[in-house]
Amino acid sequence: MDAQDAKRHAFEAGLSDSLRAAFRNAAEATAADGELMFPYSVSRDLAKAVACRNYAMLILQLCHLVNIADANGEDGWEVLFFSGKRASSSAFRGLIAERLERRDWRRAGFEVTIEGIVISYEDGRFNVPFARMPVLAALMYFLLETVGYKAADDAFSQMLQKATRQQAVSKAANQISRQLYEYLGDHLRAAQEQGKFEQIVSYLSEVNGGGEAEISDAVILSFWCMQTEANEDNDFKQYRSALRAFVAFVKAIEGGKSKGAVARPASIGQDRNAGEISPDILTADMELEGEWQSPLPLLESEPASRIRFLNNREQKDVSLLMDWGPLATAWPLSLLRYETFGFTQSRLTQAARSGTVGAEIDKIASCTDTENFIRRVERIGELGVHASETLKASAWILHQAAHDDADSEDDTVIDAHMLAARRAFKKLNRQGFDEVVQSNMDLIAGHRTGMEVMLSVRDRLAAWHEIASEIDASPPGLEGQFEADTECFKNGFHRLYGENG
Amino acid sequence: MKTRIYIGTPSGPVQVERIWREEGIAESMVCLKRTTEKLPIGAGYDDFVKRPSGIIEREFGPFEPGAFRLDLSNSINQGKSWQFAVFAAHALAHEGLLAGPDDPFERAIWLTGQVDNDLRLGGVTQVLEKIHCALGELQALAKEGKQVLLYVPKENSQALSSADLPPEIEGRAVASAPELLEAIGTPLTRRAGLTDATAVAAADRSTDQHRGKRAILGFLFLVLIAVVIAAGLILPGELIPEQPVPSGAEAVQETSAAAEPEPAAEPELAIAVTSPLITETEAKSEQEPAQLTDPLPTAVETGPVISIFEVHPSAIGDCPAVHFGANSGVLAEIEAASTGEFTSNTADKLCAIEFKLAPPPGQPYMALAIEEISGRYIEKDPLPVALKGTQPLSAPLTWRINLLLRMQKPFEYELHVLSAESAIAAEVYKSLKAGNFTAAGQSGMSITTAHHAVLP
Amino acid sequence: MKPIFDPGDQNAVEQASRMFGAFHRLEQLTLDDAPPGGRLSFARLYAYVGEAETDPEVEATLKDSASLRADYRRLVEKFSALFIPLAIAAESGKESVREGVGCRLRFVTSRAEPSQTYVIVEFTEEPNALASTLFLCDQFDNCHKVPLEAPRDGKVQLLLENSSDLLIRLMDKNTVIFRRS
Repeated sequence: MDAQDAKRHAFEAGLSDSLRAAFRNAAEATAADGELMFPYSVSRDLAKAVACRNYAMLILQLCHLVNIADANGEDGWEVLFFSGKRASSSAFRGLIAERLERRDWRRAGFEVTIEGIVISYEDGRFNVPFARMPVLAALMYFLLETVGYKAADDAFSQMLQKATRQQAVSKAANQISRQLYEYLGDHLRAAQEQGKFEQIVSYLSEVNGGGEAEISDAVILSFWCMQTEANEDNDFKQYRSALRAFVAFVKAIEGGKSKGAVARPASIGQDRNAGEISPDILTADMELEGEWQSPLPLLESEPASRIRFLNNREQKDVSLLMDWGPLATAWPLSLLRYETFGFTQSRLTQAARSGTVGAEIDKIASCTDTENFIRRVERIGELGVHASETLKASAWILHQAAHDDADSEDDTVIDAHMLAARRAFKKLNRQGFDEVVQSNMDLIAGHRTGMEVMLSVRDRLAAWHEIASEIDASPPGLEGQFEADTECFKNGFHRLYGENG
Repeated sequence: MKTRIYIGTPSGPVQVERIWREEGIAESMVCLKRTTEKLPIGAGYDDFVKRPSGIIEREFGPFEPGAFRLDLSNSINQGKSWQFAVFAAHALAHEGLLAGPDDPFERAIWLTGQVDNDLRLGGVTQVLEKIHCALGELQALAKEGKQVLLYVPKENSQALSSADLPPEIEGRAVASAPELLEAIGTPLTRRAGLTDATAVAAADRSTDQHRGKRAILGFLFLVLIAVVIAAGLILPGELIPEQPVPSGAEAVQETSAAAEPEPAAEPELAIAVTSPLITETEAKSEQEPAQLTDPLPTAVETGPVISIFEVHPSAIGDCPAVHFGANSGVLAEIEAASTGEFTSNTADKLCAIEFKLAPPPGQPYMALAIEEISGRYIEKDPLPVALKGTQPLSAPLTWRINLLLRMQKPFEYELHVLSAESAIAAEVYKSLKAGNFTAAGQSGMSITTAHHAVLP
Repeated sequence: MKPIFDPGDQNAVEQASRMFGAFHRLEQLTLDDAPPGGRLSFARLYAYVGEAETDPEVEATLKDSASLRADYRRLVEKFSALFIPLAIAAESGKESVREGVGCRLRFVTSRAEPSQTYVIVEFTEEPNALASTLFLCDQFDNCHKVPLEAPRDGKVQLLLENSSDLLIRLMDKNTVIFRRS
């Protein structure tokens, strides 16, 4: 593939590979302890801000945070963002306090409150809440990957020369916003996105001869198969990309329906001066009232974040199901295909990029190593059981905290449910589930919040598992379905990655 | 003789390929095979070289400002057991006798051991293993006709005994570095490493000692003469020679003159070597030898004949070529500026000094010692065994010393040549070398001295 | 319940077409699959400035990216001290010197091996300095990292081939040198 092809290919998604890589670097940054720097919810918020181009306010807050960081120590503003600690409100609070113990603020006008830092400028006041700092830090990481460190540092350095004036901070924020806007202009192609929308509309229109079409698992799979036969290069040839496009399509349709017929300008992101849609509206549209929101981010925030309800693997296994919410139950086979055949296709893509020999690619493309549906469904079931067990354990903890004679362990006094809860508590060997919890009010609060989340998780998993069981109960069953899908995907993969692909 | 030096290691022998004084660098370093790869023992080597902890500059200096570059044939990463071999290598390099990997050589010496600040050897570990690893290579060298020697510290003599060396390899345990150097024919002649000031002071002390020795000899001579006159054996008038006094008497007269505060009187007593000395010695044979007690040498009628030659480079060569034997140079005999006094100037491109020594009749045994008054020379070849007084000579013998390429100050010395009827006792030779000559228990001996100054 | 799409509902289609881009971008950004090529993260670059040893992968990436080199240079300038500023060209001849901030570089050609040169780094104000890292930066933002052992008697001595890239950079008047302890 020559450079021209590479560029074209890079933009087929509407998003350049550089932009995706930059976001990934930010989202997957690790702390000194090897854990992800940013909670999943923070990365998601950053993704929304970038996707909607709704970052101006965030950048302004970030510039104020840089001012705080610069005044908080002598090592430069960078130290606050690259301390190696996981980005949480408490971590920022602790880090700033630690540095203040070594030396006071380098200049006047900074005040630590319970909620955050208040900066008193010559021309106004500004508050940066601790709770906001993780997403601001994520934005900083993203900016450094896109706009670049030198450009950002130039803007910050100029700002810090007049650090006592809010005007200087606003100026820096505008400068950086412009730079990011220009970067995104080069790396986001609205035209490609529009093309994809049209493609899906066109396809769905044909499904039922122009009438209403039910978007089912079969429709999505058929769409993908069709793409594998097409000559032009596009990322719909990736099953996962195709499926996600349908997720975006459905969300856009649902969003469009609920907003009603409101006259709006033609398109987004072309020229703000031309009076296009303000990105703020879009962000609001993304979070419609009544629309499904994954509860998992609550597990990453305090007070629940102190308790290890789900480990990294479990989090990864449930995240898609929880993100899609109703769509996961509407498209159970699509989700299974995403996790199984979608993973196989990722391997094929990597192998093709790295120049792996044809025989090895053929082996992967044959799908003999692909995890089957039954095993996948079993894992979802196991996760559901785990969710139940953590609920019981949390219940036991809360029960003990609520009763004075917590030492009494007479079986005849405890009812059967609590007995099971106690057993679950004793079996669970995780952070936040030990004896000490019962005297720790923060952890108790964490369990209360976490229980609500885990209830939702358990219910979602149980609902989905039930649907999967129904599919298995009716012909051809999960095994039969997997065999049929294997043929379909195998053929598609050979078309795409075989010697003539 | 040109010698290869090997350091014993558990991975096999490592040759010291080269030692080079690098002007202007900050620290001595060890490199691998003439590349830029520095070996980790470099810091230890720098400490070993540099004052005050180091002994190389102290023993073999002074050197021009800078440090050494030592090139090894293989890596040595740690430890101190390389010290013994490196010390030996420096001693040989100092004499121009260290053979590199491409140089012709007659001898290979393998060593292991530590050397302390007093030049005593310290034991090291894995000696037996090191010897076994080296045997193959050492035996191959022996098969090529090279002399192969193996030295370890006395503390490791047990390991040496256990090594079961083949007959073609000679192994010894020694207690000190000087003991080794003595054994291999490059003895430590003096404690070098004096500063300019101390070197001058040492030279002054040496001169003072020299004058003091003359004073003692002169006094004893006067006593002797007084005794002889009192005995009626000779008349005072016969004491005044018509010709230069014989060598033995020369030495005595020289010292008696030195006893007076006026040094100018010395030349009148016909001291140093003129060229040639044959007439002097013939004249001397008419006189009775003076019966002197220790520390005076026995005066005899004849003495050794000494000729001194300047060695200049040939038209197509230069002094380094002469020093390393690539060019034998052009000889020019020195004529005495005055009796026994010789002067040379290095502006004439003077590379070396060659001595030609002929034993007097009846005294075939000769011993030679150079007493440095100021400056220094570089020994090109070790002093021939025949000039250590243990072997009789039937013909003249030559021996050469090299001069420094860039002399900063005069090189001034006295050449003492002792000839005797029988083999010269070790103690007598030792005393000659030490500049504190004694003829204890030995008769039939003559001593001839020449004074030479080479000006920069 | 399966989602339903009515292509006849023009309003909904129009609204959706405007919103699809943002939702789609969101999905693309949060896609599991790694994009091709990857990219050296800034966090890695930031950590790299503080590391004594060189990392061939990072160096290779820097070589290919002018923007990353510019970022790296800015980090070097901010987090290390100026050691040898831009200076007059080293004098020709056997020995040459570059003066710096509390330091000096001397270049001495080896007499034993004339194709090699000693570089003596003299710490004129800090003879007991700790081991440190030098960054040699040229006008193209190439910053070459050189670990430096602790000085002995205030000096560190290197031995380099005359043709070595490092020597050429050290002697080059256009190279600015920074030092980080």
